[in-house]
Amino acid sequence: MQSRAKKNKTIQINYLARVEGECALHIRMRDGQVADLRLEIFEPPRFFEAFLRGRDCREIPDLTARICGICPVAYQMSTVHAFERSFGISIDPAVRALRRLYFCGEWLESHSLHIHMLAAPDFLGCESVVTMAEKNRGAVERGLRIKKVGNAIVAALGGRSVHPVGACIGGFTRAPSRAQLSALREQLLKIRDDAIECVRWVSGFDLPDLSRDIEFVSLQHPDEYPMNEGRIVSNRGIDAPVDEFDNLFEEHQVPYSHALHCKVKGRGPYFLGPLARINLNFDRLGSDIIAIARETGISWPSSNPYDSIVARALEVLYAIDEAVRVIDHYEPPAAHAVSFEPRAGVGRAITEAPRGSLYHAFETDDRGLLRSVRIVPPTSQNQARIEADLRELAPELVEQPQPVATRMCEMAIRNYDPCISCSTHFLKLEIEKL
Amino acid sequence: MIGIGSPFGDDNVGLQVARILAEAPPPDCDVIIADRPGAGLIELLDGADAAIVIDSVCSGAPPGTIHELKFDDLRHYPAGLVSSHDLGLATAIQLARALGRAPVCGRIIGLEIAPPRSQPTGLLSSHSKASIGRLVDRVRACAAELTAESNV
Repeated sequence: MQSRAKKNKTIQINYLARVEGECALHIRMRDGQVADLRLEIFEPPRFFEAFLRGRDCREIPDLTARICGICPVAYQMSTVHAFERSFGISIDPAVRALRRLYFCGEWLESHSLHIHMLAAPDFLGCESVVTMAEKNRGAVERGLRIKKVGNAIVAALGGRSVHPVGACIGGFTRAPSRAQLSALREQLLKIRDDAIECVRWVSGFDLPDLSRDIEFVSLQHPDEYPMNEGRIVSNRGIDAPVDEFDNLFEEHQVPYSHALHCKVKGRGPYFLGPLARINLNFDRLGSDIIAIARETGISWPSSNPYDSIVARALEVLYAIDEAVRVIDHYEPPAAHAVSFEPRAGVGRAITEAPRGSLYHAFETDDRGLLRSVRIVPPTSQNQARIEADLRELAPELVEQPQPVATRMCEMAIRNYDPCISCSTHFLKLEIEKL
Repeated sequence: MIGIGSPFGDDNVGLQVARILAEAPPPDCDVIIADRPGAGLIELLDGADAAIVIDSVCSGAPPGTIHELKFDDLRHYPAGLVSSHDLGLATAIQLARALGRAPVCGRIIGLEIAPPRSQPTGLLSSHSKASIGRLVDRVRACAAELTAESNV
């Protein structure tokens, strides 16, 4: 009887900490096998896709930016790119470069926060970043320094670091001067050593190995590390233009979650985010960062979701170098935004939010009023993959005391840096022994 | 004196109070209208001799109740509850203290508001509107007290 009891367990985490939003995890084990596993996202849905209908296309970038407090840049960018493709707008090359800089700012803000404040305490056995700061003040200060520079970039282009408003269809509402960007360049150079130290720090963590046969998906650009343009690619043969998104992936509802699940049609869950981007675009990181990536001891491409924190740190370094490159080549555009006339049609775009590919599709009438809206956030797409990882982990949980099992589940989920409120929020864990 | 909040409904109280204080700041005081600073609050606190953070509060007390907490009172707040959008107010203050970047004399003065979803956005409720004057007076009195303490 005792051995049977050990193989049956219910884990219930009723509210998951250190993720954005509200969700719970329920796992029921029977005879050592997963009988039921549900990542329950109970964050209330916000109906963006419905209430944007009928609004003018020019209003949309500032509205979709409000979907997320930490990746508003990606929301603005997927929106403006979708409309620009639909309306046949060509943007100034300098504006295109500024948009990459805008992304660099958001990646620095988001990744530094996740690495230092949310994920690192797990690997160092700390309850929170506050207790971690008592033992490891230098690391926390480093994270704050990197985040501050990210904030400064987003504020320079978006008008403010929280809920920026600077992007518009056709460009920006204003373009920065060379002098403004030069000041940012100095700040970026000061945090480059911090970023290298951060890569070494996280790659020294005792990262669990959950290597699996995973389908990784991201954008791929012919000669750039992907941010706001490219084809959809995967390590299992997907190579398609963004317009094919609906032919490649399908969303479906599960009764226990307010966020739709996504799968590759005819296959299954897929993995978005920094690890997917690095795996699929390693050669586009540049020789300096490739050398540093190889020093981590990880064999790239990596199929271990726990290597995500190292991928995230490498992207911090990339964002610094790319931002400096953009600033060094910057000549203010002739016009901060090109004028346009809306047309009836459908525009689709994917950009790379910190957490992975963010798909937007808008149908407009000839006045530029929205007839239909699709927004498919990365966390929503990662949900099924997160559940697949938890299924793999579940047999190890049965023997663990509840606090340890809870921590293990939370770490597995945090690999994806989920943004639950974007996907509709985080974690209550329930493991049920039968 | 740091006012925190958003432009929406009663969450705007901290910002409105800061705007009023900024028109005639008490001696030796700076007023910062901080919106939602997240981890940025650590920098705002850094170097100050004393600080008062003004915000709206939802604790279940009657709307209009003024709460006053010392930074030290936050020790028992569960710092693990961190949003990935940014640090919450309590965690940002706790982290600033752990990093040695928060003043020893620190207070949070908060006005109890009704739960946000029962109000229309953009406007202060009558409870909050009627409490603004009392809240400004309370912050001024606290500033005088902290100024005297930090000058000792």
